Amino acid sequence: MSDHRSQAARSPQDIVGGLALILIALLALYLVNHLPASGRVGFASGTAPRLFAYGLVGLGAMVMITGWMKEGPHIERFSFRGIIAILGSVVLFALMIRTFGLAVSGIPMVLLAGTAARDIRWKEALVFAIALTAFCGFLFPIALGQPIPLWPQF
Amino acid sequence: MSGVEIFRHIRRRAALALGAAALVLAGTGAAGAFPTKPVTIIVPFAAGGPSDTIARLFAASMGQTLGGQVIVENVAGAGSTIGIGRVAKAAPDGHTLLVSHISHATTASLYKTLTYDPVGDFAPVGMMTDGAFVLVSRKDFPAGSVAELFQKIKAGGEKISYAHAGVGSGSHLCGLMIQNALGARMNEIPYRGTGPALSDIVSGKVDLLCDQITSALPQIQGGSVKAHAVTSKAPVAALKLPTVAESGIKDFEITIWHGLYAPKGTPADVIAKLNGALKAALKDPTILKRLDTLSTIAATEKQANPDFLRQRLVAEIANWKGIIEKAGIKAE
Amino acid sequence: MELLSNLAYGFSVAATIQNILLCLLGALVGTLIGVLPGIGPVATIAMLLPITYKLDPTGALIMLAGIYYGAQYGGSTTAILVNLPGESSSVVTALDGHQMAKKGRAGAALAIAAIGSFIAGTFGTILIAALGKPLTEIAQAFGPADYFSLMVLGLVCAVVLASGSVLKALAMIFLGLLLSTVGTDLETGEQRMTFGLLPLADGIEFVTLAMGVFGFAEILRNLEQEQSRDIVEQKVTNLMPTRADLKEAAPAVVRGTLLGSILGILPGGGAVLAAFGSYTLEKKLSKTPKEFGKGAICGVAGPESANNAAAQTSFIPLLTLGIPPNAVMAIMVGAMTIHGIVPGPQIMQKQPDLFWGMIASMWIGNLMLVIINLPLVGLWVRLLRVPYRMLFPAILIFCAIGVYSINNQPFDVMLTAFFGLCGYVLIKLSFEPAPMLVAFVLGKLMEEKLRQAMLLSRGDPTTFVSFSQHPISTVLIIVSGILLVLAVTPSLRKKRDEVFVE
Repeated sequence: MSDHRSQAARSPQDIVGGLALILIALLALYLVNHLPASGRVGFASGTAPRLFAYGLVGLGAMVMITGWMKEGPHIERFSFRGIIAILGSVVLFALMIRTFGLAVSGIPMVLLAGTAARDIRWKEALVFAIALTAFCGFLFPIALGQPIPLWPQF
Repeated sequence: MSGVEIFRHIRRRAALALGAAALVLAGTGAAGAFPTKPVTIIVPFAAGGPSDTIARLFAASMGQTLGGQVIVENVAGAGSTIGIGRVAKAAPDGHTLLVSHISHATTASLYKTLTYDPVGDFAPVGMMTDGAFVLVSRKDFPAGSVAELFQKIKAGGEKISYAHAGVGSGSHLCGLMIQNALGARMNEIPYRGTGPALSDIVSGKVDLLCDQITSALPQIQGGSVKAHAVTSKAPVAALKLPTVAESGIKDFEITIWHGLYAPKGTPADVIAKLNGALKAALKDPTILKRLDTLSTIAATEKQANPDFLRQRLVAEIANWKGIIEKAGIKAE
Repeated sequence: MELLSNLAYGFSVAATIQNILLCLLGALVGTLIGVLPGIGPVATIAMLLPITYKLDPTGALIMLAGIYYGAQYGGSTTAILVNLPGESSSVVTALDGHQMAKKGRAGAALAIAAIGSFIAGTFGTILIAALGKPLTEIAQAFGPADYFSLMVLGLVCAVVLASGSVLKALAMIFLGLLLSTVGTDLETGEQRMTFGLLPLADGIEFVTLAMGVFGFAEILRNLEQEQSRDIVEQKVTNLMPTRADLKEAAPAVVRGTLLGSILGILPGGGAVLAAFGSYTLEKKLSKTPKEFGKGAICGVAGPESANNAAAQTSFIPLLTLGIPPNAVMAIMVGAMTIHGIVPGPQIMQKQPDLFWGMIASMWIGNLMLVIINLPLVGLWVRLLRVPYRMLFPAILIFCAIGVYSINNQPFDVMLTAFFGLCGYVLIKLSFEPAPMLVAFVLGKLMEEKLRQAMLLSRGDPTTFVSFSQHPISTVLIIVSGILLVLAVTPSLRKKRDEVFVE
């Protein structure tokens, strides 16, 4: 093992992961700061979140330390195309459903999601989006009686 | 009704929905012609609960009277304030309605910041139902009479454990009112729902609970809990119990009352039409029979009026403000 | 034998043409909503409630119960095929079930899940009929302190769910616990970590979290590893489990059934605890524990039997006490009261036709489900051959609609997308989401019970280990302690060995 490598982070996954957990725990501690840590029987609204957050800080730190001591895999690249297409399509659906109803929001959602696949075929995707939306429109609000707006409501 | 008929029912519903949707698309919206599309009743509680059951009972009957579809949508969350807020912001055309209960009044004091004005943002249609609570204890709780029970609470309330279904729940409010009236504090044990609370009363791990009659009735009849008193002013037919008011706490009353509201600004003729449908539902024998099994009383002709509901709401808000502030609880 | 005559009476009630049709209809609807992610039995039963007004009470309840266990069967299908656990108890099924699907053994996984569930359902039904009353008394012996200790034991077991690092699994458990405390405080009504957002006031929905970290993250991963998704698409071998599979899975089914039957009686987290309790047990007993998490058939058979047995025995508190142990049962109570039936201790004497008819119909329902599901295995597996570029948008829109329909809140849908991102990051950092989800489910109940126990003991923490006050709790805590030591020592030893090697 060369000096050069032992100075660099040796298990980047664990170091980043541990750090992220610590940050989440610190955020939680900040958010519950105004709540009492202990009440009339030693237990209050702020007790459990604090307990779990402290535990998470400790465990996050241990994950980080082992990340330094032990060699581990590198962090794989993130696919931003997938994140934008997949999660974007879901957010789009959330933004549109109330006003435009399932019949209108379904199609752009399915199309946007479809762009995540590199082998997308536009014509097929459009036909599929319409068919899938029609199917969902029949299945959920009509056949299953779910109170989802089907048509635009202005 | 056989399985085939159910399929037929579902198909009929599908046809109705399609027909209604076509109407909306065609853009018919002439004033006076109400309803022009399906009416949605928003229930600010989870599907399957007592309020949901009541709303669905009325929806079916009102749909027949109005000659259109009335559907129920559950918008639960944040102690019913999310659903109530939805209706406050809905279009005031009578196609979006609200069925809410006592929490409509109590959340006004429990939540510091509401997104709506609980009175001003609504046009009341009429009261629907009224249902009492029953005070039960574990079956070996040493109190022969209600007076003795109240005496025990006054003497050493902290030693008596009181189960409730979480802040702002009916069982919690009922407990607050009793403690407030007796000037005592009990050891309050919060549960997630009255089911587990009742379970711990049956097994004797907690002392007291104030529950809606519907859910406690089987235990009372089966003798696995001891029933003490009902919380309405009048006695309840299903139970041979004294009222709290005649057992030492004068004028005591707490009930779960349901009301039907439209958003403010809904035209008067639409309100009148809705009120007519509500009153027709209150005379429907099947509804009356089912309310009876829920140990809930249908609103009287007088109570089912918009003015009565508004007065009741305003009075309850004022009453609860005092109790909730005194107990020092808030939801935010 | 009185039991046999009672059961015979029950079958005479349940086995009319109308009731069998209703049972079939319920099972079919249940399977459909179970397969669709997000649409749960609670909402569906509530929707169908008005239809049942016109039925006789026995028929109505038979249909509603059919929906309930139909949804259990259907939920496992989605968990296995696309790694989407629609309810908490199928989180565990997804672990090895989906791995089996990736190896082209989706058919075997689905079939063994159905068979295991049927056996568990049969046993559960007999148990309800024979021992309903005494079992209720066992459940009643559990007070808040005992529940809390049971949850602690559950969390210790959750560590075993991890196929990788124990330390990281522990960290995930604490993250799950922390997430479970989001929302309005039960006792004081204070808002905790809600950022002032009203839709968060009731806490995070299980479905939003599970769909995000499991389902969406899985799609993101599949899209970047084109080889692995092709494996799911193409390499589908034999549909049915082999004789060797059955022989391997049989003891797991038996153990899962027993464990599930007992834990199902406890309200709340019964089915979840049963499912991963069984997983833990199988992994510990297995000669090849390394196979778990990579497609071990016992890791599907055990938990599936356990959660179905638990689903069955969760009727016991409802039928014998009239107290609904979960949301589905609460709606069943609603359905009963609408028909003028008061569920509770008297139901067995007052309405024997309803009581025994329903028990008999449970078995008929399970039989129908296995008959429906085994031929469907072929259909489901064919679904995997749909090109992935069409499959994943369909999964996404089903999930979005399902999540929206829980509370009719667009916010929940956005939250699912956010958790999808979190789940994707977790994958990239080699953290496993299963222990987090289990801890999330148990966390809420755990805090509630801890608080109740503390209030009842007036702030005395020794109440949990006081043998005279709470013997059950004391035993559970001791067992948890021993298990924790056993779970942590091998990894410590391994680390020490690694240090020595270096």
